[in-house]
Amino acid sequence: MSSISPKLVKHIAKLANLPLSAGQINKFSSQLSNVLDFMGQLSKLKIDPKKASPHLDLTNVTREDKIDTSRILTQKQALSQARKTHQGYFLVKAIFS
Amino acid sequence: MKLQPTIGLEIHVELKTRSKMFCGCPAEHFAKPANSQTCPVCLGLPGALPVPNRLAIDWAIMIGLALDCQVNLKSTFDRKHYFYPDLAKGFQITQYDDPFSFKGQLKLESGKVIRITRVHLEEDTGKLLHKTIDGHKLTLVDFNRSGVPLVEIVTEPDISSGEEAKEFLKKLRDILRSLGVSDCDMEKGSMRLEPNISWSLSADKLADYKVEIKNLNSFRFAQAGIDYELKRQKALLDKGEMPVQETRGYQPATKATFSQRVKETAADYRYFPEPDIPPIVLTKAYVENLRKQLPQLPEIVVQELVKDFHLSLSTAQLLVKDPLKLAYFIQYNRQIDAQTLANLIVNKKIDLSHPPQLKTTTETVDPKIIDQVLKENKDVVVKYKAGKTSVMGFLVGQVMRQTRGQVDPKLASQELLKRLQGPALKS
Ligand SMILES: [Zn+2]
Repeated sequence: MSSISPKLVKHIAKLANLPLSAGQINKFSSQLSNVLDFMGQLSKLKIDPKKASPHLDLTNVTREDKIDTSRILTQKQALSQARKTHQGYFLVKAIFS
Repeated sequence: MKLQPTIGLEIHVELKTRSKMFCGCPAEHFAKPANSQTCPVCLGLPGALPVPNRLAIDWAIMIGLALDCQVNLKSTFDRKHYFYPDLAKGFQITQYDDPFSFKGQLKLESGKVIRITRVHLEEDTGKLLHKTIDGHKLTLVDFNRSGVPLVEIVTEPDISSGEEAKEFLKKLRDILRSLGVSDCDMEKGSMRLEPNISWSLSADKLADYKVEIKNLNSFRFAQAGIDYELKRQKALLDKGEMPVQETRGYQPATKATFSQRVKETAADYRYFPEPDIPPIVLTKAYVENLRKQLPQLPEIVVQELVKDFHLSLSTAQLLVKDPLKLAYFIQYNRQIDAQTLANLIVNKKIDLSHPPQLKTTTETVDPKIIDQVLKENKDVVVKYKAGKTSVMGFLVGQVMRQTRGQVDPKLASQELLKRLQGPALKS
């Protein structure tokens, strides 16, 4: 039985920039522990860890150094999903207080 | 054991490829309208697929080769996670476990070796502007720079003073410029320096703390910042206090560093392999082909200019520093006296966009100039008369200088000979 402590959940939430309530932290603590236990079953299988790869057998997928204007967004398009903008910029609360 | 200054450097350079690292947006972002050069990839929109720029990879490897590094025949990209407004995706694509190259070195003039830890490729972040608008402190974000190819060069903490750091950085910049892969323009931010500084027992037995200085935009500031920081830390250590591990800024006006209250960042970057980019696998032959494309290192070119054209060390160094000037010199040094041409170029007395104007008056050399040169260089004349005829080149150079290269060096040589073999000079 793995155990993800509420303290660890809090740390992970902070790294993931998720605001969690105390209730949620406890709930996720037991849920994440269950998920890890479930995934832990994989360790019982005999798998060559060297062969594990997210890329199948692909290598060297690259592109030539060329400008592709067809995919460039206009400033208006780029900013269209932003909550706040100012003179062509995305606007966020000051990161230095 | 005695503590010694222990300094390592992290240097970021933007590559001057045409397009960005993982998408086809233009990489040149200086003075462009904000957020006018972005696409789903460099804005980190869901579902966008990054595809690495082959030229950027070649250049990153060439930088490693020029720094005497070993090249990884299998390299991978990784995701580095953190939240900051300049990072649209919530992670930066970089290299963690398998950078393109590692374990290199760069030698200083003294012969001292500075070890290179690694050279890896990543993407630049967006640019932040801090402003107060209507009384509110706000941060403006421009993603034109997001995704520009960025090479990070990391050294071992082998540097022991601000001066050594400056020498290393200048040498590195000259190498990068000679490769033609980056402008290394610090004012435009295409070269960024981050020294880390401590007093340690040795480079292999580091202190329990280190201080990083951020946002240095000149070699002079890097040198002064490092020297200030060494003094500040030494004073604390002498009092029995341990300097705090932190990031500090540098203030040119006071030549001092100051503690930066950077928002607390978790050092837990949760690196994992970038699933969207398959590994880059290279053959030895491919790497050797890149090695063949390396230009001669600037130091070697300087030595050759001094040897082959009798240029002064400083003139040769100035020529080598600027690829355009060097190319011009190499193209035209047969048409005009080499030393004169070099001086004209270095002193910006010649327009590099046109061939040199050869207003050579083959008719005569003003005898006054010959007189003047002989008078001003009596010691050289003595040497000549003692049989050291090789000093003639120097005298011809002086005549060329006086006439700003407007006479035929052969004629100058003949005139000088006539005078030297003629009656003795009146002093
Ligand atoms: Zn893009």
